[in-house]
Amino acid sequence: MVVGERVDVWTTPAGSPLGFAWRSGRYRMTELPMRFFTRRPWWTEQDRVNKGIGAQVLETEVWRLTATRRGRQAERVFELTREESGWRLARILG
Amino acid sequence: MFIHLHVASAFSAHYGVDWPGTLAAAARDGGADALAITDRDGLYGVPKHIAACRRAGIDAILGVELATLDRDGGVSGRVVVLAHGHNEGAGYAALCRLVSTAHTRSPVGVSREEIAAHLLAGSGPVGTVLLGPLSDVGRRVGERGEGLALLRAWQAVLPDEALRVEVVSHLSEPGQPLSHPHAIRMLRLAGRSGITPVLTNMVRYAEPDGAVTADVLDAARALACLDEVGVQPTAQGWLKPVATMKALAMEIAVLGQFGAGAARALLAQTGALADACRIDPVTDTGWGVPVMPEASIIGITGDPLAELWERAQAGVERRYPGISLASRLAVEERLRAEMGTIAELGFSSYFLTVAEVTRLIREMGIRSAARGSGAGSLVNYALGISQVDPIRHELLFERFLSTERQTLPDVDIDVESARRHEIYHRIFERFGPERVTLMSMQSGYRARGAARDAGMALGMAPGDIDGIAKGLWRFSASEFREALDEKPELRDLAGRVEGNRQLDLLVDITERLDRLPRHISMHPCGVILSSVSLLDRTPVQPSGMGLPMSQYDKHDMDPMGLIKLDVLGVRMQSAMAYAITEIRRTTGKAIDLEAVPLDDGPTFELIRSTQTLGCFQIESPGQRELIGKLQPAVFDDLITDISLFRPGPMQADMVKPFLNRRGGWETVAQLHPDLEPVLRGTYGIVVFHEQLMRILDIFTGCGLAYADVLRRHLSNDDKLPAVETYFRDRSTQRGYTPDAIERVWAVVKGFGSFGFCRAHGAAFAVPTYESAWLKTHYPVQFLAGLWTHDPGMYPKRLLVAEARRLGIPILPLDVNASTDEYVVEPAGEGGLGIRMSLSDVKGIQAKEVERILNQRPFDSLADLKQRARLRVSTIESLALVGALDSLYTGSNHRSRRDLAAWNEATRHSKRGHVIPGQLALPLPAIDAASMASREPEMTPVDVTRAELDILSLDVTHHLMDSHQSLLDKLGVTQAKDLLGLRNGTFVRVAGVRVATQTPPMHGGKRVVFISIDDGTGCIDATFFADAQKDVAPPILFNTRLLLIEGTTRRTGPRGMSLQATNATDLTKISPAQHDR
Repeated sequence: MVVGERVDVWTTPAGSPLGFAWRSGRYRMTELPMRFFTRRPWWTEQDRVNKGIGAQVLETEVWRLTATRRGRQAERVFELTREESGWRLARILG
Repeated sequence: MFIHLHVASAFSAHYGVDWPGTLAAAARDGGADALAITDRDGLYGVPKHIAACRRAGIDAILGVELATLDRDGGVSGRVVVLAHGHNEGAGYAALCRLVSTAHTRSPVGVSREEIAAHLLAGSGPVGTVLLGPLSDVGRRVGERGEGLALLRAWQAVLPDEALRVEVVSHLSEPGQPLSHPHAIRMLRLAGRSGITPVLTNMVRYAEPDGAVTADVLDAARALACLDEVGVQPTAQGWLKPVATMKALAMEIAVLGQFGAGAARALLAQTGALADACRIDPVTDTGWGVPVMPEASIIGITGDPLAELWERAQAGVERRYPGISLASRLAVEERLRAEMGTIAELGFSSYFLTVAEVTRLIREMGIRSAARGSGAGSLVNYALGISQVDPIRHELLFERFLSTERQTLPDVDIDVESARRHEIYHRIFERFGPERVTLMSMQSGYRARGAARDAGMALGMAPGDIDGIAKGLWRFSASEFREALDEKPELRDLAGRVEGNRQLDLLVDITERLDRLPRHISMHPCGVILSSVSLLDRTPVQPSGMGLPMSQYDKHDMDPMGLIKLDVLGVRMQSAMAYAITEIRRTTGKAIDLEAVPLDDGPTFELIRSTQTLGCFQIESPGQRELIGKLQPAVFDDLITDISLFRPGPMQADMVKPFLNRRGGWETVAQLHPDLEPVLRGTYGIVVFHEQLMRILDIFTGCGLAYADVLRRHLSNDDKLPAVETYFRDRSTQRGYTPDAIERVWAVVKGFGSFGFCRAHGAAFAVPTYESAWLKTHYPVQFLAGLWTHDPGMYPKRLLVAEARRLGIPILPLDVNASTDEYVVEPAGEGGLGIRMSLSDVKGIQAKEVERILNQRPFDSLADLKQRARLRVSTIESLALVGALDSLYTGSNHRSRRDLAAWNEATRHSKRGHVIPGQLALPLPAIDAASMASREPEMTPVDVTRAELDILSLDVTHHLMDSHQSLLDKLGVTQAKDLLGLRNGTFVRVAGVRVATQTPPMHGGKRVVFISIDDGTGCIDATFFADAQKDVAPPILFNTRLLLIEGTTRRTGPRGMSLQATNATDLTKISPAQHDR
């Protein structure tokens, strides 16, 4: 399920997420999250690609995590993206 | 600590992004004390990497990334092979030979067994193989397959200590290669197999946004746009700092539930392998230690130095027979001094080797001449390497070689261009392929190519890309944006870029691609000569001509201890060799150009007349003007002339004062009495490097060797102040007055970076003089040589016009007489003419020429058609230029158009095949009888037009002849009559454009020089800014037949040029228009 909504995320000091709040629920991780990157089509999005633009316009940081909603048992797999503007819940895998 | 062990530099063509210098600096800044280079398929970047690591103060590690081939020769994956260090070069040698082996395959690659064989050559493994995500093992694991069996196959050929499992994560999406799960599975495989794991980052760029460049390179490699090929899964392949790599190791270990100890172990094992692979540049790669061929290979068993002494002394006896005692002492002293330097540098084998190569070339009967500073050496002269007497021409050895400089000697040998490859093969044969290889060069992206690939990656329309790319030249791609702001010719493009996102991206990408290597090719002249250890010290790969070439370029020669010899192909040498052969064949005289005295009066008379078209170095319009003014009378004048006509002296404006003083119109102010002997020959002007060295030596007493070091520093703004201080201090100590020091320093500083090497000028003056001598005494054979080898700057038709001007008969093409060269034949009354060549016929194939030569004589068109098996188009061309006229003479005569018509009419009739042994039937009777005779003869205008179309030459008549009546009406002056006119006379001239030049002038104003030929000679017209305004650009740069108006301008006793005021297209003028 594609979501694409802003969420608030609690992280470790190193920046790894621990849990997040989405709509009215609070979600807590049950397994170690895994970080990965996906590419962005910079050649259609960007105005400039001069040296020094940095990597954030080239790829998106994604965290895949398994979490449960507080007070519930069912685990679900979520993908959060970390963007310049903040965290976003990208999709729910199941 | 973390050391990157898998790093591609820009030398991985169309893959790597950053130069070794950038990578080494980034590694050091990221906290590392060593860095590997593992380029794809080669060690191309190794010398630069070693130098960069030394500059950065870190250790270099050397390796390569190679494709592995399975039993069928297919690519099974890619692995990294790292050389172990501190083993007296055993690891590096194995790497070199492994890479060379890989390049004997197509696609480039090696089998597991070959890797093992190279790494296990000595007592233990001298290198280590990394089996990473791209290896057969890693690919299987990436597909969630079982990698163990494939790993066992590696273990079967190599001991475990020479193998590593390479763990990499670029944090791609799980399920993709280079993801965390992929890395975790590799780490597990390491545990199960007992093979030690290491961590790398498979680096392609130094900074994260280098991924943009890498994406574009991937697209360029695939010849497609980014929308089609996509991009790398992530932008994580950068040279991450130590701390980031440590965190990555931890992340993988934790996610894989190996525990924190596993991360520490992984990092420690990576560090341990790095330690084993750090190299010592000197002991492992022979950094900076020149290796000469063994003396034994050139047949010397004793001390090479003693042998060189002996040969040099014998050579001196031969070169200077019967000289006075005083001269003899001077020669001997010079020889001792040179030999002292050679002995101290240990270069005697080098000189013996170069002498041997020269001997080989001569033995093959090929003309050769040394060029460059090497002509300043008496030893080179004595050994026959150079043909210029350094003592007579006041050349300095120290400009060539000295103990004050760290560079290896560099001798360039000019040879006949047509036989250059023959020489290469002979050198390989003589010294053995284990000691010789060709040098290579890297061709990098320039603005135009970069813009094309950038446009393609962005998916722009080919037409749009073309439109942009065509306008890009004469600036470096890295300054594209700057150029857009500054260059008037890019104003239009700059306007389009504004507000166009795609063009903005194109500009950025073009700048990123600047200079990145695209492909490697054979250097046009460098041959590397070394000892039997050569192939342990450089990897080689096949060159375009088949012989192997080193993966290193000219900048790598000195650091890698490789000695190169430049054997340059010079067309003029081929042309002169051809002339000599033709002289021998037609007159029986054997000419030895080297034995020709250098003071031949008629030769200098020709040079002074400026009728020097075709002569080496002095045929350009500018040079003809200069010799017209300078009026060379002796060989020394030629040296000066050639040296003055160089960018440096031209830029420093030396020419005018020189000519004024030589002409006696300006008095020579003496710089200082002590310098009089040095500057006398050039009227007090510093033209030559050698003069500057002498001045520095006289004033500071520094010695000539150090004087050359100082001279080199003069053009370096950072070093200039130190030279000045040294000069002032030393000359003050030596008692020169402040006034003298001030004056001399001003000259030294002013001319220091502009002079020219006199030895080089002298070496060039030899073929210049020789070609002028041949033109003077054997113009027919000389022009035949020029036409055959085409050495000069002008179109061939001008040299044909030159023959016509000289009254040399030009014999028409004839299938029964012409060859693929220009042959000298008897013509006229006891005279000689030149037969036109079949090779000029447009579209004729080499095979067709070969059959004509093998099958002739022919007695008819049908006979020609049948036996030479020519294509219809070839026969038509031959008919129209008169090459078949000789088949139809007398009562059989047919016009050229008749022949062409018959050819056309019979185009579909089958060509009968000649059965070997069968005699061809005599066909002429049938042939001529069956041919109608109804087409009219071609008019002279038709003939010229056909010749220009088919041969690109006007042979029978001069192109201008057909315009004669118009020219008469217009009152046009001919080239031959110009000299007799007064300076400043208004004239009209007309002719065919033969050259257009636009050299930059003082003050940035452009001047356009146009040379035209009117059949009686060349006219050089100068268009200054005012005249350029009145003439449309197409007429200035493209129009072929020109009518030029202007005033005569005397350039010297024998020179008259035109200061143009207007120019028009001759063909656009109708006679009526001018009758008014």
